[in-house]
Amino acid sequence: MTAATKSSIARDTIVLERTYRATPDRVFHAWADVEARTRWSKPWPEMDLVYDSHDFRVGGTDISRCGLKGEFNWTAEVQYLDIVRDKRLIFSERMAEDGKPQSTALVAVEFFAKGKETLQIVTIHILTLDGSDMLEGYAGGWNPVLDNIAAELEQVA
Amino acid sequence: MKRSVTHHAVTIERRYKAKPARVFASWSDPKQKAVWFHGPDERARDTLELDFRVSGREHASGVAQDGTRHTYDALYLDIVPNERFILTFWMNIDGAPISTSLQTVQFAPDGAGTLLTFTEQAAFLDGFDGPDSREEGTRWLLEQLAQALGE
Repeated sequence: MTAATKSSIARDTIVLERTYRATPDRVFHAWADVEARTRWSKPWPEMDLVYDSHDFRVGGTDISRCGLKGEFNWTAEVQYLDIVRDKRLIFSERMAEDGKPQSTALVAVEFFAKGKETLQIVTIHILTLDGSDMLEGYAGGWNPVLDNIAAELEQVA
Repeated sequence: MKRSVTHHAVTIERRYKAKPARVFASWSDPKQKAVWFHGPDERARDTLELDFRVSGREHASGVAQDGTRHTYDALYLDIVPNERFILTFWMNIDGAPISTSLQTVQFAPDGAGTLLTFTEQAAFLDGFDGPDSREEGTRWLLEQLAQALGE
């Protein structure tokens, strides 16, 4: 099979770690609460992001849209697969741009108490579809998002 | 309970004599898939539920010889007919989550037959299952598929 087939897939696994100055229950809440998540999920300040639906429980789904200048041309559909309060959450995510599928991912987020701080490990198994440049887009987007969580936790402390 | 997450990715290739469209149909058609897609040592099995379309769901469950109930649920994320599909699936034993996975199955012409490429990116949970037994189970399923195709 050649890489030039009509339908192609690229795979990667990304591991991103952060230590937050907050206990695991507060970090977990930043993921579970849709208002908090709407604030911190934008990789770039000039981006707009809205949640059309949010259902944070195993089997529940989220649908959010984002884009620049109010275009909201990116859609993310999340399905929650496993949730252990204050310890971990795992979800699948499908992203489409203007209705065209760009990537699918399995995202696992683990929280480890370190004194009064939390070590958060995010492991992202990603598949990008048909020549999409989302492999770079994922790391490029998640890094500022995880930094936003630090700012979120300091604002509500 | 001691919580743990073990990440693992595996790719398995398997050749079939049947053409891609026929092998693909073994996965997409609920009646065909039910023939080969089940656990290795079940004493009881529920009817496979399969809604093979993007955002469609799948559910399978059975009772193993040791009396434990195994369930498999999936959500289809991407489908290119006769070429590939991607799903996320999660498995429970007696209600306890044992794994969550992203699975890709690709079908490419290989002479008169098919090269099937199976990829699973998995997070195994709390030590119930692991990469070795999962890969063994997948290879067993791909052999069941060969038998269902009459190979």
